[in-house]
Amino acid sequence: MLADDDELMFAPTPITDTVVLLVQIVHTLGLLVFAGVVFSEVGVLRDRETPRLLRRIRIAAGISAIVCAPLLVVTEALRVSGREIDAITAPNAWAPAIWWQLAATGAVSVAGVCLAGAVLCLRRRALVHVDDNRAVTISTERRGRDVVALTNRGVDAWGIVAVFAAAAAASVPVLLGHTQSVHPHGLVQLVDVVHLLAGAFWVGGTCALALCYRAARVGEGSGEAAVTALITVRFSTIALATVIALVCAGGVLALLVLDSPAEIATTGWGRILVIKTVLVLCVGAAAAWNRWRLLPHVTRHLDAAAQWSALRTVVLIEAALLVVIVVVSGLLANADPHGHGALEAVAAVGSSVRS
Amino acid sequence: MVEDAWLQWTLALVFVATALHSVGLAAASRTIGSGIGHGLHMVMSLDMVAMCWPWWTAIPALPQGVFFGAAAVWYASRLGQRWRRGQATARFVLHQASHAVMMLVMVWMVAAMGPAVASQGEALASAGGHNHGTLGPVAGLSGSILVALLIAAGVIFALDAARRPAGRLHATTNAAMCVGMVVMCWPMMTS
Repeated sequence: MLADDDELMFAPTPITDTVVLLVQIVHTLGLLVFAGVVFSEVGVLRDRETPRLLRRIRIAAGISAIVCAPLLVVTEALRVSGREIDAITAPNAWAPAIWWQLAATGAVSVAGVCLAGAVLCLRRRALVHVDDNRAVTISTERRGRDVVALTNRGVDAWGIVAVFAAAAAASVPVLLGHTQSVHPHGLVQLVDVVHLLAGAFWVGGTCALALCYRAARVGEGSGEAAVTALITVRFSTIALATVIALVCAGGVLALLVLDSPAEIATTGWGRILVIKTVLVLCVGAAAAWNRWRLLPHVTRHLDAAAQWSALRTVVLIEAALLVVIVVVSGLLANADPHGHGALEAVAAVGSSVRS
Repeated sequence: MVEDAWLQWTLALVFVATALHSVGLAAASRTIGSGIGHGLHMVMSLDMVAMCWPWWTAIPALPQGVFFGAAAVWYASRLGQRWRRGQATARFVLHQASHAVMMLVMVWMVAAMGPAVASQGEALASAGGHNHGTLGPVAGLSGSILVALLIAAGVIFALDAARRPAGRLHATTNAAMCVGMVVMCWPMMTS
């Protein structure tokens, strides 16, 4: 709750606006990548060893989300109270302007990331290894322990805890942003959560897949090809469902947020939404090419080096485009959908418009 | 278009560099097709240098629009020819399509921000109004789609630069062109 509404001013604070925008984008990107990687480790990789670079990406994304959470709380409070960024060292300037959603955003994102990270560090998984002769061995994740029998290749209980914690953290951006002012409030937030979580899975899963290809040296005569193909099929199946959820949720959100379809082409918010939609279509086209063209080929011919290489390239393009889409989504979340001269904060990052 | 001095100079320098790179590649080209392709990018880069400054609106829009429209058709036809022969690799398709998108964005910029639009803006400003450079529905929608494709093209070139040591400079140059064009278009998109 705001301490005293009368004290709040909405004076233009371009530097604070820009800082809030950047912090919010890094925070959201960190949360989505972290949650997406956790979803993928638990739901897609399951009994496969997590590639080292993917683990590092998860840790880096988690740290960036944790670092940005308090920064977001303070800078957003400064923005709401109409103060410039140099007042950041004076708690009296921003502390009274912190309302419960802002505090919850910071607290839940830090707690969720910490819990999920801790669970993933501590849990023990049965891991499957395949050598170049296609021989399968099983070991525990932590060395020095007894080899456990591979009785359950599904998702383990601790994995589910990690997924819930990461999902809670990735959902908190719905407490801030333009959807706060859209009705019906409950429906909008529910749809927004679905949109965020589906997006997180897509981002994290694609990154995980790209790094699995790299780690497994598929297409180079490696015995890992069969297992990597299995992981790809697993991801592809879940991704299809999440993409449908993502597109439906995005469509519903756009319908609820915009007053009329014409605003898509005539407002800054609408145009950025079109940019995001076209980028999503590009990623969808690449994913469809993978699923229905390349994947059937590599699962039939595991030594098809050219097809594996193409698959690797397309997945990399997908991953890079998805990161761009998350950044564009951050800009959208910060913008006023109906405001004339909307996205002033966004435009300030670039340049002013010459008539 | 941009009016911040530092951004104008930065973009102008980037496009001067890409123009010089295209001149070098055009001179070293072994085939006419590739020479024309690099030549088109050279002209595009020089036009982008001009676009950074207000005097660009003094250049007639029609020749620019026709030239870049023809360039887009040229890239598309090159792609079509290879496709019919069954010689189009995925990389070739993506690159030629990206070049065609860059040329189409040039056409869009000339149409949406060219002399005619600028004179309307000046008239509005002189009449006491305030022009935010707003786009009509068709220009807004088409511009958004083209900018999105341009971003995708930039990502493809950037990944190419990161993954292929051979031709890294060329891919980096193309990615820089895409980024520069997105920066030029972005204020129009968000206004």
